[in-house]
Amino acid sequence: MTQRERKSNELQSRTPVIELQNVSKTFSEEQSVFDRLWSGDSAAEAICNVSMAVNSGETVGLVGESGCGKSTLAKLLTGQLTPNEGHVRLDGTRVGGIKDRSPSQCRQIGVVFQHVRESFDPRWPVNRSLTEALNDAETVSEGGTNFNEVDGLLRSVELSPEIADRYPRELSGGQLQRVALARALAHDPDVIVLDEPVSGLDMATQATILNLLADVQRRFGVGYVFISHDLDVVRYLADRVAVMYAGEIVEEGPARKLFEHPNHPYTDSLLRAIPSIDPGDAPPNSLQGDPPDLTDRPTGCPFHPRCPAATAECAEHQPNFETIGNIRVQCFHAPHAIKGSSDN
Amino acid sequence: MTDKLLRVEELYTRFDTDRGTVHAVDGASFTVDRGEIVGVLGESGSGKSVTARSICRLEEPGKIGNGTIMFDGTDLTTASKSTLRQIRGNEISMVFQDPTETLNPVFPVGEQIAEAVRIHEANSRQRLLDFLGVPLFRDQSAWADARDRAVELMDQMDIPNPESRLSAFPHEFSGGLRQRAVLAIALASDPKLLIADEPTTALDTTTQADILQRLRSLRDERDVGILLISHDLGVVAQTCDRVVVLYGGQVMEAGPVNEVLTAPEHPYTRMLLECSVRNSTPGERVQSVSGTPSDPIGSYEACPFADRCRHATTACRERYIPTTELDSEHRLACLEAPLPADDASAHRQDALTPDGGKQDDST
Repeated sequence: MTQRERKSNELQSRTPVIELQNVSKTFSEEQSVFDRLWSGDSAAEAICNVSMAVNSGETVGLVGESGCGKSTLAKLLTGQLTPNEGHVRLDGTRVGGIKDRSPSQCRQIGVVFQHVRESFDPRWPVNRSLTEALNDAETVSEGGTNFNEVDGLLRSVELSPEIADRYPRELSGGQLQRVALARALAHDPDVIVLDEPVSGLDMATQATILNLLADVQRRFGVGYVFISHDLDVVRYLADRVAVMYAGEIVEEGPARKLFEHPNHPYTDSLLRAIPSIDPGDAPPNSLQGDPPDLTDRPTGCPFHPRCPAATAECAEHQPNFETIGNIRVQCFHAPHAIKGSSDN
Repeated sequence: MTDKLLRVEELYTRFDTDRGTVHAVDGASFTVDRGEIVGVLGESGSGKSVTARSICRLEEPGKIGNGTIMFDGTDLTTASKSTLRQIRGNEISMVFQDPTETLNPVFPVGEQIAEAVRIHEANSRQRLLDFLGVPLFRDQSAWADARDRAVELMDQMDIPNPESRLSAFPHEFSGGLRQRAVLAIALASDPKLLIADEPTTALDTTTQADILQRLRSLRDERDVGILLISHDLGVVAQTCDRVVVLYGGQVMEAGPVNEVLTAPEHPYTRMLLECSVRNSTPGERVQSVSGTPSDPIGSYEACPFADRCRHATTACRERYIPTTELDSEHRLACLEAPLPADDASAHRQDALTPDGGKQDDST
């Protein structure tokens, strides 16, 4: 048993920091009275009946195509959005959106936004952005690792304190990503939601940020929800992975197992699409077809129009979660839907 | 040798800033032939994008100091503005990173493709009338033809139901469809050279695989030369025929992909391969490089990578590094080459385990 597996076993016995229970979120377009009369409801179901839990100290990877609802799920976790159905629980207590959360509840969830440059005020030096976060944190300070000054924060993300006087435009992508992480750490969160933290960075910078994330987790014991479409990064960093398709989690389980033996045909096609760095290998396979229109979801399994293993059953009924080992997968034919997995 | 589609020789592009002169491209030379995909690999700030822009002569506010860019018999560094306008878009097309920002959000996609078709066909007088947009003067039949051609192009790019999507707006398209639409625009004029600046960085893996497949079929079917800029090793390995590794605006190593990526000779190429996350085991640290890219202010008299290179000697920091040719295709700029093979071969063993593959170790 590796250290990681032991760690994940330990974690399972505790109450998760944040938990989503059968959460659904729909977005409806603004419609005039006539639209409503004529065309009925055209709400886009961005998240459908999703349950997941995050413990402190663990990393949950969230992968899927663009538009599959990864970022919406992240916003439900942070409280920027509230679900239409289902509950969000913080430490076992039911909570609403960010406005309804108490300061100490808000403190628990940190966030590093997707477009990191846009998440800073360009007219504020780093100093001011961080001080703002620290001041907010002070009002709720209740022991723990409190950073009293910007210097300490910057050092914790391996930046030199001189950077405090610089403006976001003077910093490179990697540096700014570090500052964003420092800002999230300012209020001592239990879980940080990282939305595509390394996608715009080149390989060398990406490597240093990933090492930093691992260090920060070790030092402060924070949990990460790691959203990315780069499967290599997720494979490297995540303890558990949830694969999303059309607003649903189609497969979830320990990262290592899931990457070695995918059970859902969609997970399999995602893995097959990674280009190998060996020029001798066959080129990656692309997935045929387009992601479904969320305002008009296919009946049955959302993946069946693109699935190589789909049968008539898949088009009619929505599959329930099936448990294979400690992986749960939403597919009628798992694990036999994937070619070459019969040995499993 | 002289009939290469694009031959960039000793190109220097500089930016004059308040802090001094930034030499973004510092004596880069490479070629792209018809029917071949050449990858440009490097970190951010290594001069990849500036090289691409210089080829299109869109280097403003930078200046091309020296060197030649021979494209199909024309030297683009000395060509007149009107010649450039003829070539740009017609014979050299460009595709950028984010398709959302390339397309105009307030015009239907079909209209934007048809516009690209019209611009490349129409004579200048008609173009002005089209531009003014007075319905009376618009050449209606030509626009109808352009629309037909747009449908054809969308069909070639496998955009489903092209007729009905002609009037769809960019926000109604998914990321992959948008990038396909941008490719359709780039291909409207049947270019000889396509410059793709990180065309898949903003896309997820399945969509990325699809776009790369399209680039390969363009090469095979239309004989287009493609310059593919990327920082993703996998993208380069699976798409390109040859690769140029840039650092500090200089070519570190250039050669066939299967040589450069399987048996890299330059320490910088090796470093790039090592710090790829794909070669790291979960739980261990990713190999990272000490130091950051050196300050781009001022020209390099010596090897730009010397400060971060573990093989560097005093000679590397003192004198100009000549480019040596290992064979007719594979060349490299390093004084210390050939390097001991040990670290490179260790790295290859890691890389050969397939992704998500069957490594059954230490459980």
